[in-house]
Amino acid sequence: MVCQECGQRPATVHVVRVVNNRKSEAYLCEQCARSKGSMEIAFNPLVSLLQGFTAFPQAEIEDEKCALCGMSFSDFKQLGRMGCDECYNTFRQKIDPVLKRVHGSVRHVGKVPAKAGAELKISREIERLRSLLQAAVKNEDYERAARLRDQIRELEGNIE
Amino acid sequence: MKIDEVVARPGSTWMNGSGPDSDVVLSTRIRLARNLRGVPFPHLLDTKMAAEVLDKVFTAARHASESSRIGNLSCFRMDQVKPLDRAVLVEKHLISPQHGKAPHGGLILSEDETISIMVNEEDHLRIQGLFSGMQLEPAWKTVDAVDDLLEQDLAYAFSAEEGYLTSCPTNVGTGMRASVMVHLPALSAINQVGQLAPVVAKFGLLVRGLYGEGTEALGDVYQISNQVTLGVSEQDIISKVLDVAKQVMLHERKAREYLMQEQRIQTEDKVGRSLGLLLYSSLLSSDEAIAHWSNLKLGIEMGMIKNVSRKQANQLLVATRVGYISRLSGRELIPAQRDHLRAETVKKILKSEQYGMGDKR
Repeated sequence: MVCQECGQRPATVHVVRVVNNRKSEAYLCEQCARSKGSMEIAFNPLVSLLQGFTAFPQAEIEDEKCALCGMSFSDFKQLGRMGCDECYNTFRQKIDPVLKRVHGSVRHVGKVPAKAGAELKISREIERLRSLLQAAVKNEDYERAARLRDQIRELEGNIE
Repeated sequence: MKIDEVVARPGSTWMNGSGPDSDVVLSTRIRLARNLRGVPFPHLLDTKMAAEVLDKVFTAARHASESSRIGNLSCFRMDQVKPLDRAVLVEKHLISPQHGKAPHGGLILSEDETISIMVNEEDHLRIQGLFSGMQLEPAWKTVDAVDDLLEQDLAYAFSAEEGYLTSCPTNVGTGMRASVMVHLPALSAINQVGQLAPVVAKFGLLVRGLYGEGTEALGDVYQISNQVTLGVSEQDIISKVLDVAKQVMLHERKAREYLMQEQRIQTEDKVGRSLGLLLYSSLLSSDEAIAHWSNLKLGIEMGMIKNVSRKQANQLLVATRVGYISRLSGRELIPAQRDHLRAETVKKILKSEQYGMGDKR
């Protein structure tokens, strides 16, 4: 592929930008990418590691996109960077083997932030209550469902 | 505090040579990578969103500043920092070379420069604590406290599984990089430094030269740091870096003893020639300066040079760099002009106290 900017040199850089949740892509040569200030170009050992990874089922990877930032997993493989915190959720299945390879672990054991940590506990509790709520509705136990709904609302109030 | 004041002084607190084990360890640095929840990482941010992140973090820093625990924090927008000043900030290790090129980069700095926070670098926040000598615990306590204070205003990207979520997956978990900068002139003199990297690597740590990734370390200055950030606690990381750094210190000190006993005259000769060169040359290149700096520092630590302090020597590390010299003159210089100004600057710093060779015989 030829660089979309100068139309001369081969395109070696894939630039992905998200502006107001709209994704734009460009294939540029290194020089044009640099002069446009699009990104820092540095040797990224993670990218070569990722490209060496064969365990990813190719077809499935291309489709899935992060709902928050619009990055796909193949974008990640190119850049070696995640797009946002939600990407970790979206691509968990695929990123875990990478984390395992890099860190030898996939489970955090260090500091937990006070506020985000507390909110995390609450949102887990909400998830738990929601599944109970669904079960209650299914069993037509509307009294219990109403109670659960109120509990959930109260907890949601704590987060916002 | 103005950025002019920061870049005009070559010494930061991390360079005053006062910390524990300052004979070998120049400085300790701990940095934490943090991001905001639900906001794309800096490399995907458009100008408007990046500006919002900068505003949010600056506001949080001003609130944190009101706490007596960490003192006053000053906020700077990188687009308002002149390129020459920026180069000095890099040389003082207060920002990374990449920082400031992305839109709406910011820098938050404490009065004594021990706390510096980069905004919109690779991650939304990079909180750094930089201390003199071997001070992993104090550095951790400081960044931990700053982190807690900022979190009162900011919603961090965090998951129970992967911990603090970062732009690059190599930083997830604690988001912490702990590193110590060590000066190993004696190990280098007896050709033992090469054996260091594989041993350090066995402990899962990384050793590299101070200026650049190459194997050759200018001025015999090396950095030892952790690589793994997930599945280990902050305390795990600190103990590991501490253990390895202690071993390295032990070997460097032994090597210095060896030089003292077996190669004393040769070492004194080397040290003396370097001091002479630093004091009396009129053109000094940056590589030359750093090489002789290394001998000077060794001479001070081995008691061969009495009247130059550790603090003066450490200041030279920044004061001889291209950025600092260029900024002194206020314009881009041709190499010969720069070398002259460098030689003058070195003389001035060395002569700010008495100088001379100690007579130990």
